[in-house]
Amino acid sequence: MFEFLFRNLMRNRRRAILTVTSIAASLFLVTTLLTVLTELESPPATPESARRLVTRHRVSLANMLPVAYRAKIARVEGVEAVAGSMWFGGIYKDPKNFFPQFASDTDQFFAVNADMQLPEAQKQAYLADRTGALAGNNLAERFGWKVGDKINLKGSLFVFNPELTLRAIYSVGPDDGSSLFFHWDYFNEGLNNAGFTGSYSIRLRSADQAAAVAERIDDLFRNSSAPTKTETEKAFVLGFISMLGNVRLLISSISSVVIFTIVLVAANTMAMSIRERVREIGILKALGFRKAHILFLLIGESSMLALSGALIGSIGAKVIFAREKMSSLTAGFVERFHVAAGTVAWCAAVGLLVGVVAAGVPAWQAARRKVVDALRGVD
Amino acid sequence: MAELLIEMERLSKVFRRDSVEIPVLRDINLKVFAGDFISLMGPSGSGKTTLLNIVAGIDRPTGGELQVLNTDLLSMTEDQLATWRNHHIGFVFQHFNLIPVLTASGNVELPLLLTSLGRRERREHVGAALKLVGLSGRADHYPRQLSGGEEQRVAIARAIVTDPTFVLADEPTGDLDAESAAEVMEVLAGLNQQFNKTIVLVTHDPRAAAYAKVRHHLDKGVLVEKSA
Amino acid sequence: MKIPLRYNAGSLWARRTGTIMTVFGIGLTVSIFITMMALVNGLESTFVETGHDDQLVVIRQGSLNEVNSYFGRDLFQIIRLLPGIAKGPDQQPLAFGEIVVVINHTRIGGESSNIIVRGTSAQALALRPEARIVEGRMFRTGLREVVASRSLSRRFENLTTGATVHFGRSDWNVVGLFEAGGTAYDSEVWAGYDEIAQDWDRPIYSSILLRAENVPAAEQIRQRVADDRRINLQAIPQKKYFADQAATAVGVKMLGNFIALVMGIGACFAAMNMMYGSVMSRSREIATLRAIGFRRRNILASFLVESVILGLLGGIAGCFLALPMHGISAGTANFQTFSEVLFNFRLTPGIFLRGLVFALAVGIVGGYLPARRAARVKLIEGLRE
Repeated sequence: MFEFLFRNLMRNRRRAILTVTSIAASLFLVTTLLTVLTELESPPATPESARRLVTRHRVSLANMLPVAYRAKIARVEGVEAVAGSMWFGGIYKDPKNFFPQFASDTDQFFAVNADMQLPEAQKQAYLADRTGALAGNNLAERFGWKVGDKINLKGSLFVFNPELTLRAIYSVGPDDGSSLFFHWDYFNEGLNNAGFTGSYSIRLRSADQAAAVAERIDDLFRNSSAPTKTETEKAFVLGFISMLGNVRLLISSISSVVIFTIVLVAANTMAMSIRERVREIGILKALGFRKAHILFLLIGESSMLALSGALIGSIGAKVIFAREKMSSLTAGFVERFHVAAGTVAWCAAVGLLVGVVAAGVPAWQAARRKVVDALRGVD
Repeated sequence: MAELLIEMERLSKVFRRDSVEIPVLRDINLKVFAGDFISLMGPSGSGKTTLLNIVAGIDRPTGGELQVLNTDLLSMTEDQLATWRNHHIGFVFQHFNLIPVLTASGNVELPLLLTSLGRRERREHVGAALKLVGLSGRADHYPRQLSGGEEQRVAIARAIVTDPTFVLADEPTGDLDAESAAEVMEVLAGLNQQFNKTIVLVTHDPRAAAYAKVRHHLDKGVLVEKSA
Repeated sequence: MKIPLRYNAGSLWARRTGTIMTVFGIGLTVSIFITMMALVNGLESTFVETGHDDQLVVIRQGSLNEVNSYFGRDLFQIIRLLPGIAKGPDQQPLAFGEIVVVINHTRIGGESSNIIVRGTSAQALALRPEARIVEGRMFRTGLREVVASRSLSRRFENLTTGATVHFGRSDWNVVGLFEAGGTAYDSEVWAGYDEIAQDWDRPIYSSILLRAENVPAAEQIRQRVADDRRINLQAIPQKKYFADQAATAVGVKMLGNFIALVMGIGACFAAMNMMYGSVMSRSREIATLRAIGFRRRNILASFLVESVILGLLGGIAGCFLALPMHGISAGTANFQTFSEVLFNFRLTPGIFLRGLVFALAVGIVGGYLPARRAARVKLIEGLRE
């Protein structure tokens, strides 16, 4: 049966290829969109990140926290290590070369960021050099940096142009490692000892203390002129995303429309194909094929087409995005872009469903048509 | 003395398919003069349609000589042939070959669109052609609304609307019942008698062939003249 | 065009189901294309349309925007006396100090987000002619009163006329709503300068908004402020100040282009599919036309035109499908001020035109190969079928 099915599809190869390509293109898009959504909505949750909190100004990340907070936070029960972090937002050669830059405290930095992996010698070199820089491996690869290179940034948020020397390259997991860090002391000095930072990263003694410690920290500063908001690293990142607006709605709407369009394309193809084979189907029925057989054949054809298109499109997306370095492709906007197996499976299921729906009406008509009408070629 | 329109000398056509040679026409000698009404009879596979196609410039012979209207068809490009066909040939096919999405007058008008006639002139010619075949009242009907005989008559109108030098009819009654066949052949005969249209008819129907003034037989690619 | 359009129209109509499905499919693609452009246009115009060429925003040197900027009130006296500043009806320079803070407020629907609150004065409104009170009245000085943008009031809780909202250290009465012509100011809440400065305990200015006598004068003032090292301020042309904040639009634009490209390819293949099917079932007609004397290129042109008609119909359908998006408001993040910026989906005739051109391209690209195939129909075989 399946071979017959396949033969029928290959009968009009061009049509089959065009349909499959059209569906593949659309599902490539859907896969990409869904991956954007999943990446946005699930920041990485390594065991280390589960032990980190982020403290920032309650009102807005744009507001600064005094550097004096550090000592106070360090004394809070449950806090193992704390490091201040200031988003620098400078320009490296060209505004298009966007990547995150942070001026961070150094003494407890590696305690807080325990998941960073780098050679001990480099670590010490970075800590020792006041104008040293620590770069993620993806970032270094993107710009071709080697330890010892000079990296000069031009401040745009702050009137300060740090001149750094790359001392260490870190890696964290499969594809993070896209930020640049330098000494907060150097930064502070460049700003005439302004004495502020943007946020504090805190390492907990144990992850299940997160809520309690967060509360304690916020209580400390509740009535001061710079009240804080402390949350898990994951919540912090999610907060950013929610600022983007209703991305979920946008993506679901577009995906729905795209899928609907696919149904139209597949349905058109099946209708054309079936219309041309009225006579043939009549012969099959005259030979003894029953309604159910005909339905199976036609719906099977349609599903095979749609499923192939879906698999090509979505696996294609997975393969393409695994190979391309998304950060350089999108000027630093997007860092990680992994198409999940679940997304591919979902798209395959959608493909199958589209195949069934698209063949629906014409297949039903064809199966029901009387043999004598079919043989006469009457539509 | 009537003008010699078509002259074939030792014309032959061999089809080559997958290194097998199939001779379709052998040594055909035929002269067609202005005002002739010739029928070529023969069983299917005897090469009749091929002969017609060659005269129309749609196909090329593999041997022999062919002069149509003193023009050397074999040296013309496709584009030139197309224009030549438009001016000189009126084609009538077995399956009518009307464009289903155009009305009768739309179909008849088609050959005129390749000329430089203006809209009003075209409309006049179309009207005249449809009148000639007796279908003035059906000008706005679509082919699916016409009977077989009527469709073929529209096809004849289309074939003559440019006032071509001759009309080539390939099995015009093949798809028709006896009554419609007679209708159609009456129209063709009328065209020849009243307007001196040169007609070359190809058919396997003896009743249709009977309408012609000169009857030839084509069997296995060889021409035999029967009667006048 | 030798072969009449009636032929194409008739053929499209004869295969109506297929035609309608293809047109609809192209239409959906075009509507997505148009919607994305409307989104980007709305975002960009919110920023780009804000401001006047002859006005300057003065903020601290080194700050990127008002939210991060602060300087002493004494500097205001220096600025307002600069030559080249236009004078109001009362002969006073048109320069006004303002304080800008960010508050966290709950959206209708639960999540909270940041909003900009501007401590300003009623006179400063003279420099914002695009804004007008549409409900209630302007706030009065000496009282904890605010006016909110109408767009904000629709998105956030408790910002309707008559409501009371708590932020900073006090309760504030919303006494009116304003509309600012779709500019960035439509994402703000305004109150009196003194009241905000008091509540935040910040006797400083975030910015000064001033109007120059004319555009060249504005440039001179800007240069002067930049050259004056003592005051440590920078004067940015108002339009540029807002235009520079449109960073979010970049990402959306990228996404929109990506979507349009991929969907365009899909649509081309769909159109191609439809046209191939059409060509294959009309080989007898094509051969007849050629027998009559039409040339290959007439056939090619005719089928290409048919595909273009399909595309255009799809484009028109797409325009209608996208129409309801116009004016729909949405909000996203201003990553510079970390506050919410509101915008509307903005459809313009230009965008519709681009949608139609897109559809046209789909018709041409998708129809070209099938049209070539049609032109290649061999006369004899076509007749024989």
